[in-house]
Amino acid sequence: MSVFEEPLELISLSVAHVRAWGESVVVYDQRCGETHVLQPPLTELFQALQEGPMTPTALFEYLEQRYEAAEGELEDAMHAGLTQLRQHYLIQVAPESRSA
Amino acid sequence: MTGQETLKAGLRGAGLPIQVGPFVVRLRSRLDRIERSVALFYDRQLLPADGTPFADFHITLARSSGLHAVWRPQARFFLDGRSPFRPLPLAHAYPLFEWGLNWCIAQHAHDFLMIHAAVLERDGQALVMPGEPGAGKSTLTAALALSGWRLLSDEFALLSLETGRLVALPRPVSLKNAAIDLIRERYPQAIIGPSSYDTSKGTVAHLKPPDPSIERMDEQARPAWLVFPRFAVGGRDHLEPLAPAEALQRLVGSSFNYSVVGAAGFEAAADLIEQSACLNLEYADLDATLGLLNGLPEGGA
Repeated sequence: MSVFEEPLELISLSVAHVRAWGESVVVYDQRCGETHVLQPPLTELFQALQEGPMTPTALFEYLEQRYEAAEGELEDAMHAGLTQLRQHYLIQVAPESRSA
Repeated sequence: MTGQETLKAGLRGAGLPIQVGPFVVRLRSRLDRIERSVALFYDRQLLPADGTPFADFHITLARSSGLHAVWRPQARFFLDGRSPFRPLPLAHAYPLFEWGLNWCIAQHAHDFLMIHAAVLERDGQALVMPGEPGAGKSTLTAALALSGWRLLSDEFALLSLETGRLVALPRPVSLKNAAIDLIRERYPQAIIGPSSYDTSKGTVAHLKPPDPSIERMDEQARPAWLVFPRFAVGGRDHLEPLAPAEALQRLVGSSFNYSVVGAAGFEAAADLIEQSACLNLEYADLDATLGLLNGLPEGGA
């Protein structure tokens, strides 16, 4: 499996620490005390990963069904979003894939 | 002994216990202006000296010693015998007590999410108004408290981490500069203490909380409206909805201890947002603004 195809998952978050308000999702990360306010398209990525681990390819397909955007633009937006989520330490490589 | 003599004896002796919302302050001072101000503002909150063994804060207001005190008399604030601030002119002794008490609470009261905000209540529902200095918060607070709303706090919202409700901290409302005469003229029943001139905030005078604020200080209130006021000369008086995520960011930005209380603080703040109508308020005319706030629909969010 390519490193780019490893399934990604959200870090473990308490339900009380994730609030979806309109287009925004507010996340409290108890490990560091940071409060993150996510806006689209980050919210779409976050909410997709709330359903479970997904590879970038699966994520792309998920987004493609919801957005009418050129393929290249959508892919760029997705990678930028994943980079931001990584920078916030809100996503990680799913443990099963790490041990695989 | 008369009440005045008891008050004086307490202040000059072992300390005068005062119930300030959920806190007990034991205050000692030989300063006449402190005695007069406590008699004026806190007369309904005095506790029996003998029957109050515990106090949250042991505060002393004293005249500075030293040679300079002869030609420039100053007042010094002590908490547990230590003085965390530089002294202020003796004429500012009472504002120093109030500001010092703010500091004591902000440093210690981590059972609450503490927010720099006014809180008023109507029919069990709380209006929370965070505001930067100069936003006109105290003027609005005084006007609302003198026209039927119950004052819970002028500038110190205590959001209980246990109940998610606002806890009253009834203390004198700090009026500044033009607001002093404005409130005095509009509300002849208002009890306003003497002015302190040339403080770091300009001229300051305190408004005594109306009786219901003291009589009902044990009653908590459910959050219903979160309003961010902004005074704008020549502006148009209006309320506009504020996105909840932005309201949360601004709310926690106004908190004294959000980073201290951790997850419980986030949960309390987020719950408050979900229970409240979140609004921006631009105001220029006090009557028009009071009309807007009095017309807030019941039930919050």
